[in-house]
Amino acid sequence: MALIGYFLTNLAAMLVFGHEQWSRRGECLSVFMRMIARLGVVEAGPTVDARKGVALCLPGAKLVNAEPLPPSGTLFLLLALGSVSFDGLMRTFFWLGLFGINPLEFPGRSAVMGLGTFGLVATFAVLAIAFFTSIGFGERLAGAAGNMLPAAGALVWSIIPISMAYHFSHYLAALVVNGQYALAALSDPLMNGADLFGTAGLHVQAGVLMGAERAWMLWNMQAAAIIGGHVLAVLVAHTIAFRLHGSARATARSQVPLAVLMVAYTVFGLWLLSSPTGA
Amino acid sequence: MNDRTKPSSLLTTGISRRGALKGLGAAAALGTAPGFVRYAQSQSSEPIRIGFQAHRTGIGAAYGRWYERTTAAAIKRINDAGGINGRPVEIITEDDGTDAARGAEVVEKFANQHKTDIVYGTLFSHVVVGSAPAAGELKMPYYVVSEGYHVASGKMNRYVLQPGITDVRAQCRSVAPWITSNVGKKITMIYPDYAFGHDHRDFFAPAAAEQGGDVIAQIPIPPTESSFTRYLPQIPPDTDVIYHVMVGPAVLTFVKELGEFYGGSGPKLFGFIDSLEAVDINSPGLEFLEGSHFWEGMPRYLQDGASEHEKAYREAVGLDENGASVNDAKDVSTAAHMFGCWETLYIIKAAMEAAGYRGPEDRAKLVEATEAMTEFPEGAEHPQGAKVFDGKVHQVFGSQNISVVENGRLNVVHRTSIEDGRYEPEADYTTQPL
Repeated sequence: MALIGYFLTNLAAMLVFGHEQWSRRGECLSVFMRMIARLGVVEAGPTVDARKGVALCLPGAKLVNAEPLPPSGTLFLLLALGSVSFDGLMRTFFWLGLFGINPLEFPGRSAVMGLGTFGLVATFAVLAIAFFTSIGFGERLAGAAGNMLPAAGALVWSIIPISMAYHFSHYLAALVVNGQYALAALSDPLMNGADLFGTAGLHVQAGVLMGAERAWMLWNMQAAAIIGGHVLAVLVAHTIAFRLHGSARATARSQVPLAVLMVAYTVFGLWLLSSPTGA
Repeated sequence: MNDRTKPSSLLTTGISRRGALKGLGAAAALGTAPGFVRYAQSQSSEPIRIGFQAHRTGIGAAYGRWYERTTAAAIKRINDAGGINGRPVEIITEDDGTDAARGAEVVEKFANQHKTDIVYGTLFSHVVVGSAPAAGELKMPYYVVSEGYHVASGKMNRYVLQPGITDVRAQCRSVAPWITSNVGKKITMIYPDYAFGHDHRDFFAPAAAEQGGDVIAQIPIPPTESSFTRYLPQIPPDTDVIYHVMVGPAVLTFVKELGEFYGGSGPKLFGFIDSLEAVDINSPGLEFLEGSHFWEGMPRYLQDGASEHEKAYREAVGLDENGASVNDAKDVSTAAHMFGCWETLYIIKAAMEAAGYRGPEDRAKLVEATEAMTEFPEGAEHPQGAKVFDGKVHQVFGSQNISVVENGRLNVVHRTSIEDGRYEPEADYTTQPL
């Protein structure tokens, strides 16, 4: 039902505003996909003889050259990161303990819908406040005056690698196991006993995540992604800041608060990975 | 998310209804004897539809996966042998997310949308407790495989039955005589401080006292605790046995810290395998468990003296000698509990046949037929062993296994009697209207 509602709403909006406009600015998944596509290493190259070229670029290079996002886009990107972060946080013993929920006897998601909604909004709010404060403080340190929103809109692109790293680390385990359930469902999409691709009765290999060895592998992959994502984010942020400020000295000053925030977020991400979870 | 398991074969013949509602054991024995089976064309070839309330996601997912595999294996065997009353059996699975509120919705969905004949298969207590009122209101027979005491306590309703797995109260009682006479009399209990741990505290301590044992300390651990070093000094020095039932992600830390605390000596350990279901006993940090004893509902490791029925069951479910999946040696099963799915499905089959079950209009007859059962003999349908059913409390009683960890495997050293686990019933569901 929710899916049909979502489809109809977006269909109606596209008829009113036009497909291009709505998918560029309204439909959240298209907007998000368009944003994360900028992390790609393939870009459109020069057009030669009316043929479009394709070129390789460094990861993050397309983020550096992106147009600054408007405030709504900036908040949207922060929400994308905040939602995954909260999805991790809400499973920890720490979070459940704060609200007196026994993680060993987790009552199920229905019982924590209100709490989850509150946590999601709160995480987003804390992240947004921390981000805008870092940018504002950094701009003042660099001696820039006036509106800091354009700087925030430019620098928020550096959040993309962090967001992707969180997505990867957070959903890796789910992908590996639930991905197999999805493969099984693909072969029998209408649940009528079909076996289109021979995967209908697939034996789900849950053991891929089990045992100390696998846990070690998984944890290292997740930790590497979190750290790699943040390193790339710092590089991207520095490059954008240099473009904004023009001098190495001003750039360095402007980036101190944001770099501190990113280090803190790395620690938070690694803490999430190592925390006992119960839900 | 739901799916249907296609019956693997459609038979045109089947076992006819039996009028007698007594002693399923005798009936089953007759059923296997040639000449006693009156093959008859069944009244309908429509499948019997069993709604399987499965923990596919949420905290019960590891158990849920093995409950699904055991269910699929049992249904295949039932269908290969002619189904129920000559009708094929279809399993319709719905994920309840190990969520109590969702559980009730799933029961309603089975009744109103899928129009299943019954609902079956729930493990986690809070989902059973959350779903039971819906089952009662919809008059939907609800066969759970939960091991909680909630069914036998009388707090559920006439439509909730647990005929395929023993409850925690019986399990605690069963192991008490063996512990007090073989391991030691001075017992310290360490348990998580919530309902699951409280059940052990409330049921084991009196049972141990009856056997001349003495629970000299009870150490509840807050559920969110992830380090235990500050609790361990509370263990009295004259403790003979530590009875531990810790569960959750901190179990490995608990065992490791206990090992470090005693440095290779100290009291003996007795635990419930619930702590380590689906966990390899050879995981790093668990070395300290060598030589300690565990309760097991059904042995995880293939035992030397395993019956043919047990071997056939393990092969059908796909268990290797170590109790892991034959397809994946790291995927350790929940062997101590999942046999309950297999046995429950065979009880459903027997009860439907005894009741002459035709469709939803016979649901009340099905409940009565189940209540009328008394004994289940060990066999292909009951590979864990013989059992006794108490129709008044809707609860089955059976033998438990006590195993020792030797060279990184669990070897059964004692099998309790059914009587060891019996207690005075506290309820009578049969007085409730249907």
